[in-house]
Amino acid sequence: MPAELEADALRDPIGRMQALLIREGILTEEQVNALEREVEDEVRHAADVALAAPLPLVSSIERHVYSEDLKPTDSVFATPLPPVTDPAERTMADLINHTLRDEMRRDERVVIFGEDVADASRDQHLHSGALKGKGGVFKLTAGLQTEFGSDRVFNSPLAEANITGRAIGMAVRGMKPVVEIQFFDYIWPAMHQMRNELSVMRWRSNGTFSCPIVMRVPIGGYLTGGSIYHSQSGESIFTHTPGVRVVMPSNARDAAGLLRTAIRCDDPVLFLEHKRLYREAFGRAPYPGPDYAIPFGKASTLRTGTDVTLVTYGALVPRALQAAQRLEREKDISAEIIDLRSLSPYDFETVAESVRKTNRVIVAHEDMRSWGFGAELAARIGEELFHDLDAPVRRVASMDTFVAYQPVLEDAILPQAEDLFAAMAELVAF
Amino acid sequence: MGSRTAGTQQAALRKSGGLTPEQMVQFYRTMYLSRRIDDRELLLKKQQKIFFQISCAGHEALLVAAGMAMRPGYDWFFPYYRDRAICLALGNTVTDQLLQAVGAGTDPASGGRQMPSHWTSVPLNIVSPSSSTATQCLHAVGCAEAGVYWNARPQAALGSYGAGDYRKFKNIHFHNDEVVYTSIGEGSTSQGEFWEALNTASNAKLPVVFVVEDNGYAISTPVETNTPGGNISRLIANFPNFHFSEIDGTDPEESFRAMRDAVAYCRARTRHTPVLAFSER
Repeated sequence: MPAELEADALRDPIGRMQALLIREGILTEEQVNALEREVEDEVRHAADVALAAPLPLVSSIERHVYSEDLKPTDSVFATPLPPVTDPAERTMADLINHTLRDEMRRDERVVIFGEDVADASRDQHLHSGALKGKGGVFKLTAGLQTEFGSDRVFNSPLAEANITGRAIGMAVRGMKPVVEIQFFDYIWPAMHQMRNELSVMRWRSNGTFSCPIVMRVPIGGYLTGGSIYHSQSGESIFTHTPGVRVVMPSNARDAAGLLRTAIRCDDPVLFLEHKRLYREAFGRAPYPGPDYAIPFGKASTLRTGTDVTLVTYGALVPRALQAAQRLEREKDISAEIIDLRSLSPYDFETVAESVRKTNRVIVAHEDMRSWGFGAELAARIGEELFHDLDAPVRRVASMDTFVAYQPVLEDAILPQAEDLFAAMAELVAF
Repeated sequence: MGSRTAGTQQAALRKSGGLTPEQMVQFYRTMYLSRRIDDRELLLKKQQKIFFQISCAGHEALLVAAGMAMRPGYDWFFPYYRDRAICLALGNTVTDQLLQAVGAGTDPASGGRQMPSHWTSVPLNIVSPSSSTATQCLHAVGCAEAGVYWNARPQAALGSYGAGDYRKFKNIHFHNDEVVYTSIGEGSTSQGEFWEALNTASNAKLPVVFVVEDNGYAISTPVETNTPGGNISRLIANFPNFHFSEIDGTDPEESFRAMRDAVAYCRARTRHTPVLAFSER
């Protein structure tokens, strides 16, 4: 409205202060004019400097997407497995808890927060010994507050953007927040912070600010009754974001080694923990010591074979091994099983080497088939390994729906060992 | 200086909250500089020499006041994209700002990656922002928590580290009375992350100054469409541990007094201090 604009003009702070300076006798009108001319010159000169400045180099575009100082793929993270001192087989849940404890002892910059991760917010009950505490809905952070104190391990409000945004602010100051999102299904309020802030802080500041936090997130289905909101996958949504590393171990030892690298490296890491694998008999391992690390971008070939390659990760790993054993037994087919472990970056070299040998490949994951991680991998195999293929690249994945509650539906929606068995048998017969 | 008596100037000094005449002139100069950069950018935009423009016009008094009340490179800053004038007051130069506008390779904020008005400076502690609204409020909260943490555990900031340790690449500094500034347009207070930031700042009594710049509109949408009752300060009045100030952000002296008091509260660590300011563009 014109009247509104006119009222605004009268409230212009610059006009108001100019009048004040003259009224109070701090400057004369001539002095105001001289000051304004000087400012005008300064701005004109700066504009000339800016317009003459060199343009950024196209060759610099990829600089600072990730840390230029320390890569999580570096061989410094490839530590040998030390001799076993305690042969007890530990679950993935145990070794994640153990690794968090090790790293908190080693590095006082590590803090842990998230929903219910503390043993008890009212910590007087811990000190009195009256309460053992919670330590996470899956108990992955149990005992950490008790050992390290309530300023290093604490509960957040029930707000995932709060967790992520605060962690970013802390990491900008050099802290190492290792935060937990209670379920992958509830990561979406944090998505804004992850996509527009976490992933791009380093690149948008041309390497001058960074926020290398770790986000631990329980993910996945096969829970029998987990239903729509406790079974989701969706890792490809995050691998589609530059600037953040994504890893997903399938067994206890890999979880320990990859989590250590995640905490010690200089990039933000999304650490996906399959909740069905937390306490499985499959993949247990002895404690690998306080310095055992695995570099990112290095796949693990869990079974060598000559007839077909199956590339997978997460909860499909034990299902793939089961299918491969049955193929050998029933059809005399030799399948090679590759566990990617790390999804961004991922180890294409190991995949390519295997495909050159078997000439047949399946990419399998629990996430939905369409626009999933397998789509990119299959496309790249098609582009780069076309001449090595004797059959089309195949995908095995879940149906393009959410995961239903009723187990009959859940079993049909998620890929099973039988699906992997059938797909490999068909592809070998192609 | 002008021709009035020293007595009149003393009265002005008191009213302006302790600004000397020299500081008053500096205050005016910084506001005027900010406005002229906006004007120059609008011209460069018309000439297609820059590709985007975001104006600070109308917000200058409030922002210069904030910049003069705080300490660059000591306090921490999470401003939003209308905050040209506070960045100038903190020590950003015209050249710094225009190098970003033209997308120069030597743009110290982003090397030509971010559009204009995305203030970033390591020496001044101005942390790189996005164009999203309200996300910066949570970063400010985390930054204040980090300050509290480092002061409680200063030994954690020390040590020398070899290869394979991110700590080798971190330069940590902190002060026991540091304050964190964050600002937001009134329209963006509709975002949940604004309220999430208030929750944690209030619970943890963090030294964060929240500045809400209310020019009556969120782009084209008037304030009453966003904010029930049309006044954000009434909505947040029941948060514990807050000191409030609702001011005319076009009044330089009132703005400076409010900012000086807000920062003093935070430095004293007795409570943290959102300032609700009204500004016109």
